[in-house]
Amino acid sequence: MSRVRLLHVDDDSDILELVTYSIRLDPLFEVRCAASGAAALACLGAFTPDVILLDVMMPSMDGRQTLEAIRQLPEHVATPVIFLTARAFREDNARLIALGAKGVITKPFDPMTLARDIRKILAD
Amino acid sequence: MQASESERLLALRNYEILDTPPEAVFDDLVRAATRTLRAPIAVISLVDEQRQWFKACVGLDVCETSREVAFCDHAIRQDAVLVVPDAEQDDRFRDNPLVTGAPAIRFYAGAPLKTPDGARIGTLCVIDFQARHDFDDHCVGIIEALAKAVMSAMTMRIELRRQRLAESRLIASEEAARLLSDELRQVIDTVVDGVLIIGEDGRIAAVNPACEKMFGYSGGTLKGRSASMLIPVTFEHEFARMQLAPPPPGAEKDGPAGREVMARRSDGTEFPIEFSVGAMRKSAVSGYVTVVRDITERKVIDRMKSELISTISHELRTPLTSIKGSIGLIRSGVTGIIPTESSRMLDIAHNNCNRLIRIINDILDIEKISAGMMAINSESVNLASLLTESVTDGKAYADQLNITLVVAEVDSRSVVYADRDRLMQVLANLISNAVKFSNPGGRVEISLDRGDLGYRVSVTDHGPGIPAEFRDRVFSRFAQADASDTRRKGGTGLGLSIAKSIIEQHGGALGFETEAGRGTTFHFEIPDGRGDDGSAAAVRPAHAVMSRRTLKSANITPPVDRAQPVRSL
Repeated sequence: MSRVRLLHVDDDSDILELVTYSIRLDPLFEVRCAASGAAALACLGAFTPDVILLDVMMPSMDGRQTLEAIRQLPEHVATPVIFLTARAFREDNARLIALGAKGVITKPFDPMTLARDIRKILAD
Repeated sequence: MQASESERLLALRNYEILDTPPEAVFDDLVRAATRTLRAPIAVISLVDEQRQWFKACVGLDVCETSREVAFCDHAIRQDAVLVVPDAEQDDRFRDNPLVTGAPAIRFYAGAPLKTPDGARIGTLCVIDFQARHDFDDHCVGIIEALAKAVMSAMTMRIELRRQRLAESRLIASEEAARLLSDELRQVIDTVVDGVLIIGEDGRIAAVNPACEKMFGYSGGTLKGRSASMLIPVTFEHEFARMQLAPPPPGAEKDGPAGREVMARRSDGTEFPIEFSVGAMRKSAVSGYVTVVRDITERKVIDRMKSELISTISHELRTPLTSIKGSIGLIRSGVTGIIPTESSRMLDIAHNNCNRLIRIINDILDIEKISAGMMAINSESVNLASLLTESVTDGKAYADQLNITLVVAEVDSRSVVYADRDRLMQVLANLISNAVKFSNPGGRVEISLDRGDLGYRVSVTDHGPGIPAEFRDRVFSRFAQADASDTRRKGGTGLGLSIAKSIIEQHGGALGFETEAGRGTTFHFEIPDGRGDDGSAAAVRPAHAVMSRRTLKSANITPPVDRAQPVRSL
């Protein structure tokens, strides 16, 4: 088991807290939070994550736009991005994968297995 | 003789002449009789049941007398002309009041009026106030000829009348038809839907004003042009289909009612319509009647409704995620030890979170089905492993209610071309229903056989059966046998409606058999093969396929929730 640095981007502070708590059940995870796409981009200067967990529906800059902006950064062209979405349709998931995401996790997720699920997607 | 008298009366009535006004032809004939036979009185007398009635008469002021006193009543009893030279010398007439009193008849000669069937319905007779012995064969010949002329006139008269009556009836019915067609025309011109009449050649024979307006044409410019100009592609298909496979005789409606397609206006813009086609075969003109409705507005409203439902549902998921996640963490014990009593309350909260999520998922599914947006991502699916997996998934819930799930031995080579996740959803629904409605300690049997359409999967419980009054509504949305069930059994009332749509989208069928007190079997059939028969393949979508493997690796909760709706209960 390796250390994983994760950046979680979500506009819902409760979800941020819940995800942070859940993921830290795996002590090898290091979690940083960002409450918007802009905050995430700002954070990426100081923090180099191994994976970005990205909410889709956010005000002003949504998950898709954030992903696009992240891909503009030379050092994050290939950083794995996993979408965390409240949209449950398979078609939506397929579209998100097509945008260049590594995986999709839908809300509500299982807090007890979240870290494991992320590791599994990264291993694929 | 009675029978022939009634026949005679019937023959008389057939001429429809009794009590009709004088007519020139008969007046002329009696006048001719008085002149040629040099008699002061001549009468065309028709012998009715109780009277004799005069159609024409010269020399008498009456138009009828009682039959008892009528000389003519005697004349019609014989075929030959009755000649009474001197009534005072004749035993039959000596005491007749017409002889003893006014008009004091002495001489009578009457020729029977004979119908072609031989019925004697009256006479042409001449009468004199003095006895005559000069009425020879020549006179008899004349009166017979005149009687024949009377009959000819009567026959011609009735034929003419009947012909005129028929003509007037025809005119009346033509007028009625014209009025009706005017009325129909008005109805068609007034309806807000577009009405197009299309000939066998696919060209427009007629349109109503609503149709012209809808498509942006005016002044009859559409007539004679090809109908596919208005409804491109689809109409050609529809038209070809109807010509290739005309509906059976007596079928009232032909085209599928309410098909939604795109139509084109005169300016080239497209708009959504709903249309239905019916073939005219009974009328003189054969062709097709197409009713067209502009559904632009409805589509906008539908889309708004759809978006609203979708947004609300998704917005609900975020707070639910927090609630469910938090409760999940507490229940797992990672946040600390939970007192036993709190634990039970947390279970209730957790179960109801799951229930809310199921309802949201079901509503989203229903919304997709209504919008025709449910994609079927087909792949080869081994039914045997699908059954095993669904039973494994359903076991936790079955154990809770002390129900045993039993899978009959199945052929491990049973393969269908279908959407694995959707089939799992259907099976999970049928199994959880069967478990719900089983008696504690009961069994639910899952089996796989061959059916009419392909493979047949059955799920049988031995519960109370579906109440007779509920059977018609089993597949209706939000259907629950009784309201109190929702609480007890925890369903959404949408599952079977969704399951039916999923199976039908696969070209299959979902049905059930039930018996009060004995249980219920739900079964679905699904075409086998790899879709090269055009059945399952027809629903294969063009866009990306996300296989169950991908979903599993992501460990996405909702589909698992849907596939295993029972585990968390």
